[in-house]
Amino acid sequence: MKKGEFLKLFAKRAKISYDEAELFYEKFIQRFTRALKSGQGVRIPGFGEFKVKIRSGKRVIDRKTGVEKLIPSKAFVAFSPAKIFAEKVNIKYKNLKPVIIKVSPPTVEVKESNEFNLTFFESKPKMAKAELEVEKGQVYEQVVEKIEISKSQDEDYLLLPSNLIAEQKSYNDDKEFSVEVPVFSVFDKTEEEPEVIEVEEPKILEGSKIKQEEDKMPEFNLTEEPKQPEKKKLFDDITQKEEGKTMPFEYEEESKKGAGFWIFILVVFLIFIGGVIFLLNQYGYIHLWGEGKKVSKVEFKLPEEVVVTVPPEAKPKIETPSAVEEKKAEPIITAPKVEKPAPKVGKNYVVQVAAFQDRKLAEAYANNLRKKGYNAFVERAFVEWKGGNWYRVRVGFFESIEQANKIANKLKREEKLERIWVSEAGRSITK
Amino acid sequence: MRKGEFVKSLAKDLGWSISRTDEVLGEFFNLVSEILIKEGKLSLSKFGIFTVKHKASRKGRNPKTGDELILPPKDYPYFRASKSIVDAINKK
Repeated sequence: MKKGEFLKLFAKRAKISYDEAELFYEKFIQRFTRALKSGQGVRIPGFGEFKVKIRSGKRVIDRKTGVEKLIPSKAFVAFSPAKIFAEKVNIKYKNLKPVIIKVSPPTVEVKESNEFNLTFFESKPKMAKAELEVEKGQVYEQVVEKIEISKSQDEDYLLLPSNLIAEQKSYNDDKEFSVEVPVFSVFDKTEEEPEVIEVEEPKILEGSKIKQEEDKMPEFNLTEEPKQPEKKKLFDDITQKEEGKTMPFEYEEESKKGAGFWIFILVVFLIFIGGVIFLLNQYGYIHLWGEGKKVSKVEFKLPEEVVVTVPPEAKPKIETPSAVEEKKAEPIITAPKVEKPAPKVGKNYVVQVAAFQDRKLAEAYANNLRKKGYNAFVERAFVEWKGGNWYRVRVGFFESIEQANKIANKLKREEKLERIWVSEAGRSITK
Repeated sequence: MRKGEFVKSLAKDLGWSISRTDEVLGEFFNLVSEILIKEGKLSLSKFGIFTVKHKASRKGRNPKTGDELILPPKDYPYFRASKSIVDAINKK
């Protein structure tokens, strides 16, 4: 089929004129080449995917001349047909399925066993070769020696302790000798030597003897001084016991210090947590104790900037809504009023029903209330520590607190709202 | 590149609406596939040649179980891009 016939058919099918079909064909090929040039494939569901692939370069030797040639790598367009398309083309052999000739599950197991055997058998000839080579050359002797060393090391480990014990014994003997010899030598010189250690402690009790001994001692002490500490280590059980008694106290003190430090940290941590909880409760994130927060809320809110939207009916006629930002809420009021407010005189009171961060939600809520007959309105307040703008839904303007409380109770009963409180209307409202 | 992006760019070139170009492009590939199935060959100048190729049956093996199989013959569509497109790709 030639291009012309194809385009005619195409124009018929797509309900376009022939010229348009030609234009489409040209532009299509342009776009197609550009897409492929950028490295992207073109995937058309139900037909297939065109991709750019690279044929790697080759080295070829001419048999006639024997010269190497480099065939450079080349990009080509690969087309992988979609499953539906491939099945349509493959209608002839659609029903044919692969036939199994041989079933060979055990071969795999045999292979595995063979592999193990091979490794095992391979090891034997290798060992034989190694032995032969050991006999011939010196290269593999090192390996054999290593094995011997390992064996000898084991033997050494077995033998070592006995040697060590013997050595220790010998050392002990030396020490004993070394200790005893000077003592004896001292005894040879003066028989009072053993008394010296005993007498050192009760010096205070026996005053007279000490002086005599002190007069005599210094001569011997000069020689004996380096040797005495050795004796102490070996024989002074009393001193050791005393040390033992004193040490645990010190340890206990240290442990107490450590415990004190940890307790201090714990206390600080607890205080910190307490503070955090208190602050969260204060700002209304948690509601652990209820009444304080309402009061605090009112106290906090009143001084802050309050940009107010008041329904026009609630407002005195004199005031022009110049400062009003939210005019959208105003015109919706259609509901009949149960209590008509009298806003002009003195302080006004307002019942806060709910607060939202989303203005639309707040307005919808206010509309609901208006349909039920309350004079509800939306008021914007900027609260820094609570995430910016808040839209408060309030029912309003009562002359006295009693009226406001009545309405609040009514709201609580009928609407099942819990967080309702009465607050004074801000200055900007009463103006 | 998916079909949606391709159609968008084509619509820009042609100055047609996206939905129209989408329809026309779908029609184009439908025609190509139909003619291929009927006649077994379709050569479009400057685009390429679509042909149906044949793969004879052969012995194979299931690599998982090791069973020997005879795989059936198969016909499959093949596309060979025109020289102009291949040259354009290789020029990079």
